[in-house]
Amino acid sequence: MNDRKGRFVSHPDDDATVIEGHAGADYYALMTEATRQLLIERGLLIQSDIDAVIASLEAPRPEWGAMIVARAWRDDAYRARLLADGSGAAAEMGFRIKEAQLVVVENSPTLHNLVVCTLCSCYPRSLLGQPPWWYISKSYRARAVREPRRVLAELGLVIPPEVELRVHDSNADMRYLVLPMAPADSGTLDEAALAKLVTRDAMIGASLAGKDATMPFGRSKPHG
Amino acid sequence: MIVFGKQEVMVSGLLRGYHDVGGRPAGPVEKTTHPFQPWQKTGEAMRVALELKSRLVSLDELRRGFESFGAELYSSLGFYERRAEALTVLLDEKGVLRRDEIVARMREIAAGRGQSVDFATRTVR
Amino acid sequence: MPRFSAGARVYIVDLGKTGHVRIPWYVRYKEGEIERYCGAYANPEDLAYARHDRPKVDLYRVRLRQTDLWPDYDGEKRDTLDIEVYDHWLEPAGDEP
Repeated sequence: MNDRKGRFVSHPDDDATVIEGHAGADYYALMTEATRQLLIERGLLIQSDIDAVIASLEAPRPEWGAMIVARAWRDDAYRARLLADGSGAAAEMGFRIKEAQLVVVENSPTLHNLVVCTLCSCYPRSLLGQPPWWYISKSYRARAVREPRRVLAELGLVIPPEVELRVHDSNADMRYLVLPMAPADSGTLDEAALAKLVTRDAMIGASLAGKDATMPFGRSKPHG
Repeated sequence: MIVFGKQEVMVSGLLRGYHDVGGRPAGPVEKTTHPFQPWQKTGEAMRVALELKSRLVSLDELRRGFESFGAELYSSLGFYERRAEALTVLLDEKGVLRRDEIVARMREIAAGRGQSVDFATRTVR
Repeated sequence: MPRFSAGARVYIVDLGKTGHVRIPWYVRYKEGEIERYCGAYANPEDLAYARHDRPKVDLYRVRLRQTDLWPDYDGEKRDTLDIEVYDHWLEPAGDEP
């Protein structure tokens, strides 16, 4: 690559392959228990502090995001508010996004959005819960920005060449929710039924909404 | 800057963190699922609770922790493991809990379960 | 008053800072367009060292073309990438430092 003065910029470690390690789970479980005991003994935390946070980690789930998506599909005014101010529109439905500002990005027949965090694993946890394993994997973090179409194909989603693929690197103070397209045959469903069509992966951009969520785009032709 | 012949070459990436993996080659993305383990929840919750209570360990400090403990260790650990290691690094750095105190307690707990800890290989037997 | 408005062309610099930063290597030395102003936030470069009293910094989302990021990009020319960049990592495009 070149800098703005046209000088070639060399990155000596460009080709260092990312290593996917999963060592030490038992060891770190033990370290966590030792730390917990010591923090409580020293009076730095009480168990109920920890339990309260665990409850707040366990409560959010993809169904919360799905309710927001379903509302946006049925209510154009809500959809407009959601796209303008994700956190505000989520709060309208009782979901407080605590860790950052929520930005909602909308898929269309000409645009598909995909979310990644290359530096760690930022994710709208206070809305959707913990991210899936593949999202926090180093392979996904490394490759989703450079070869997103290949990564999506591996995950079962082929993006047609005429559709723009837009990757969002969630690296700072925003968290991202993809607003998928409503399945073509969902026109008569109510919000509760629509929400059932919205998967976690669809809200990351790794699949489409609908029963055949892992099928390629081509299937969702309008009926009639 | 280095000059090769007539071409000026800027060498970047010398300050690129090993955690800064965006664009690097990597293997296939595995679509496996793993449940959120109780120890992982406790680890996350302790960090958040310490921040809420006394602003003790912010998320950016935790990130700095796992961005500074070395590429080799970072490579060998998964998401929750490296956060647990980073929490120990930070509590030690801040003088809240020394690493040797945590290590001693790990030995005690393991002994009580009839287990031993190999700290070099980070395994419990 | 933020320095850039949506649509402005910007260049992402490499500050060469050690320590904790949130601007990944692959967007440094790259040009893009301001997608939106996100507001002012505490600087993670301060937060990482528990400096809680420093001024907030403006944050933007910058849209880049994938073909500008990766010379060997094998997707489509129309593909893009959005990323958040703090004000001090940005310069107006076209200005020589």
